Amino acid sequence: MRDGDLIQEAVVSCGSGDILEDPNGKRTWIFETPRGEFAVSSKLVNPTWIKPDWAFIEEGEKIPTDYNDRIDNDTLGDYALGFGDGFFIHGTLYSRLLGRNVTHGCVRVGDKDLKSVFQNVPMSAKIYIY
Amino acid sequence: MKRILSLMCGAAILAGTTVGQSDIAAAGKTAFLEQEFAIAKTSASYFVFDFDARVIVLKARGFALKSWSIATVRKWGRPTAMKAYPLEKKSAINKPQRKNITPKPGDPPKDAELDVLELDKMPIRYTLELPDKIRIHIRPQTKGFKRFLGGIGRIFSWTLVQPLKTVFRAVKKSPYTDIDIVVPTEKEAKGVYWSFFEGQKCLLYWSE
Repeated sequence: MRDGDLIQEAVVSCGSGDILEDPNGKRTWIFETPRGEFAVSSKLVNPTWIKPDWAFIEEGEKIPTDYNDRIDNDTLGDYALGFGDGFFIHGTLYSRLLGRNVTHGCVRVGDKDLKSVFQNVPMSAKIYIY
Repeated sequence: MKRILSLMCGAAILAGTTVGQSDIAAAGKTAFLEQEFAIAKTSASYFVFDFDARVIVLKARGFALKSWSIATVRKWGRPTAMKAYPLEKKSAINKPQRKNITPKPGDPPKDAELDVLELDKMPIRYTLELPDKIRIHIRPQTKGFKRFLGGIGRIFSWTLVQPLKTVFRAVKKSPYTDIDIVVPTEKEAKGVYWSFFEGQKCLLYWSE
């Protein structure tokens, strides 16, 4: 939106609402996209995802002790806009799933739409998720 | 002459009543706008049930993000106050359930295997529970035989159950408010359920 006018619409994916429990501990994650008012707090080109523990637990893998094993340069696509607490608006490898609630809380956007959003949205721009 | 005088008095009383009612309506609207202004100053999104305009609106900072129309609305019990009510609970018979993930390696599931919380899984008949024993019942409009059957049930409820409930609650000094909202489609009923979350505030507006 700009000055009350809609300037772009895009199909996105949001959090699945699923629950993941750590089999070895007491941690639980609910994969939900937070709702409310946020602001763009970072803008990244070719973002790197530092995979959190849940990403390994969900895949049935051992949580790595080496930090380098957490680095993933492919999953987030070409651009990412952070809006706090580790949540991002980013690209996706799974464009066929756009429009479905399949993420771990981030907002996935198709490559073309994401580029346009990235170019047009300034830092601290307001984001409303509902 | 007497008749003319009495007619004039009658007209004056009627005019006074009309002015009084419009003052009350204006005061109500002002109170509503003051309440909305107070919420709109915060970063929280909120709902407005505008029963006069027959619309439910999700707003943030005073801007409408999404709206759903109301086909019909009925109300029983104590009038609601002009204040922001937080949603305490959503109740439904077929409440959507979260799925527990079973860890497994590999690509994400195919579309057909997806079992996630989406709009389609939301219930179409449910109750929004607010403080002060306010219950908002929402359901979609039905057609054909379903509508006929539902109509019989509702006539029974409106003419017997609700009046008895009102008397019983008055005797027990336990006032309540029941608001029955019918939205035009199932999609709209699901949409309100999806968007309105526990803790989010709402304003209920009637001019009467």
